Amino acid sequence: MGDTAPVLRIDGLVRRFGERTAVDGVSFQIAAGETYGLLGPNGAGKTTTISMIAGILAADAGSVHVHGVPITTAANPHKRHIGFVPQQIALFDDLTARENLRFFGGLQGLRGKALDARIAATLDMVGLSDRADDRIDAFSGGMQRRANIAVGLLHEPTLLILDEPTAGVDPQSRNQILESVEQLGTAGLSVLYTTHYMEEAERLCDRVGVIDNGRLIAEGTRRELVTQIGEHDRIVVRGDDHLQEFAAHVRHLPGVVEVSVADHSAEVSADDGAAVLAGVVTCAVEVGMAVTGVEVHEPNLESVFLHLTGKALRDRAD
Amino acid sequence: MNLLTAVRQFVTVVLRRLLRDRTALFFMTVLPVVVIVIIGVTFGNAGGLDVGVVNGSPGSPGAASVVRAIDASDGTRITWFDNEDDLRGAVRRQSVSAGVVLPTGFDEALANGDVSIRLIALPDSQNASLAHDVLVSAAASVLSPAGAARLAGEVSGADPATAAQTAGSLEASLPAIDVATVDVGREQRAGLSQFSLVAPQELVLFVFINAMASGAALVRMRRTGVLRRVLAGPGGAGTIVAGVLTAWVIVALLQSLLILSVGSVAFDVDWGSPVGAGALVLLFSLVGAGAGLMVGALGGNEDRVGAITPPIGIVLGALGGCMVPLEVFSPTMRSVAHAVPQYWAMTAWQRLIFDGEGIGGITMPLLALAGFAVVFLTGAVLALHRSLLRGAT
Repeated sequence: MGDTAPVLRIDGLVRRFGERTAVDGVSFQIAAGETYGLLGPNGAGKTTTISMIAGILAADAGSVHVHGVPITTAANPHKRHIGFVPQQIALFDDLTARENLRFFGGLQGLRGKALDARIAATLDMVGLSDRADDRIDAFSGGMQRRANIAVGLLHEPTLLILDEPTAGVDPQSRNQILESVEQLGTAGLSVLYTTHYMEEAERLCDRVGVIDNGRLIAEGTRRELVTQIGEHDRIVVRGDDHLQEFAAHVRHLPGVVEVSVADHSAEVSADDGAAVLAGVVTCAVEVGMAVTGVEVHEPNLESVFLHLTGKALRDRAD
Repeated sequence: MNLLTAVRQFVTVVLRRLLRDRTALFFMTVLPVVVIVIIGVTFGNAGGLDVGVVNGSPGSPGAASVVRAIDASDGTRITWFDNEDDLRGAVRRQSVSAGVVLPTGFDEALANGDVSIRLIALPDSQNASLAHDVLVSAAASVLSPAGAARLAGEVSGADPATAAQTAGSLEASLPAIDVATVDVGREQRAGLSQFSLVAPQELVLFVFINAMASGAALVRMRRTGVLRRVLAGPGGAGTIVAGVLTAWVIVALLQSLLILSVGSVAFDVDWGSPVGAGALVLLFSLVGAGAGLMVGALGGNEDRVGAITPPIGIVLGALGGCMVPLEVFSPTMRSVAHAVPQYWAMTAWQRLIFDGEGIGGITMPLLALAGFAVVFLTGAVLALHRSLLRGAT
């Protein structure tokens, strides 16, 4: 994360709804240009957490700071740094995309030519320039999602909060949205991305916070999380000859944790599969092994979540 | 972001959406005018009394005197019928307010003190009692001298002609007792448009109904997350409340101004003191907007809110005198009517239009409306604020 001050810092956020504690002491930080994923199943507390971060829901305890300035539900010009994209299509469906952007841009203090320029740029960014003057209710689900994101980007925030932006969209639109988010991250925007899609978190996020039952139960890069739960990458080398010799050689490679041999293959466990892959293949060649195949298996966040909570991240039907 | 900018954004969006909603536009603009036309044309002349007459004694001076007396009554018009059946049919169809049948042999019956004049009217008609009063008054002017002459003849033994002459000369020499009917507000009513009652009734009725029904739009804004998204911006909940409230008040004011203008230009309605009318329109718009916002802030389903609010508005309007004049309410109902803002608005309009009062004459209704506005707006602001910050799970 570096030494620079975080764009977002939240400390001990708590929110209760009656007897139920929806968010229970959640703390994390996001650095400039970092994409942070909040990963958890439905009802885990993701939306409640980001609602408090966006200043639309009061916290019972804890604090939210954006660029060091506390954010609450009260009016605050500093909220201009936040771009909030809710899970719902929070737009006037009987207005055009341009009219919606004009409304929200006006509320962010943009006006005149500056507003027009930002509307054009934002629509271009989400690929809706040619549909700018069409009503939202004439858009497909994916286009509505992109218009929803455009509103969050319009005023050039430094922190973009995306609440499950791909929920319920077709694969093509989903990919378009993910590509947009990747570009935003590359462009230096800090992004807080909530999802229950493990593959989205793995693809987009520099770091991931795993949330369940309102608690942040683990946090880090994918590799850090995998390491935390004691999982390793696995390299399966398939071949028929010299398997024992191969195992004996490869066991001494730096980074290799364990080697096991089966009838027609050997399995190498390593902290970083990609880093030792070349050495593993070299060993196989050196011992004269006739290699018929090599597979690298990296433990994913699904495994992490399963390990941490004892349950799957989401239904397979998702 | 300054508050005025935010308010302007809300007003622009609300008006833009309204202009695209043909159904809402119809209910806001066309329907009130249509209802004013229909009711105004149908009942606008209700102030007069059309009396149908069948004269069974065409040559009778006494019968002619009765008819003249009826015709001379304030606001009555005579329509002649050939027979009683036609007259009954006309009364049933309400093409005349009531009917009078003068019997054959009127003069002979008059001399015998046994005249029977029949009044034909619909039993529940408000005009029946009015026609009855007119007829009694007219008949008395003819029957009283005749009765006096008959009494003089019986007492003195004089022949009927001499007795009548004596009665007539005595009547002339006696001091006159002038019984005058004072028509309250007659001076103001003179020259008033036939739409003068119905136009303010429909203004009050429709402004309130539309303001309440527009609560559905607020429910939708809440449920789609638009308002919460605005809350994530630099403005707080206060910005949203101010923006939405101003937009709603402006819509109610625009509708009021439309009806006022159409009333003045197309229907020649004189709305009375401009200052009084302006204050009344502004306060009632605040009341309507407050009610609409409260419904919108509390409602959970836009379809339900859209379906329920018009009937509620109609009931409140009926209670407040928007369907029938407040004067025909029973004392109990009139007491109950004090609890609805429409009553105070209609009271104020009647004083402005029919009594020629200025703003000073409608102070009490204005204060009452201000009270309603405060209650509704406070409730709306609290409910909206609460709904905005209630949060997601």
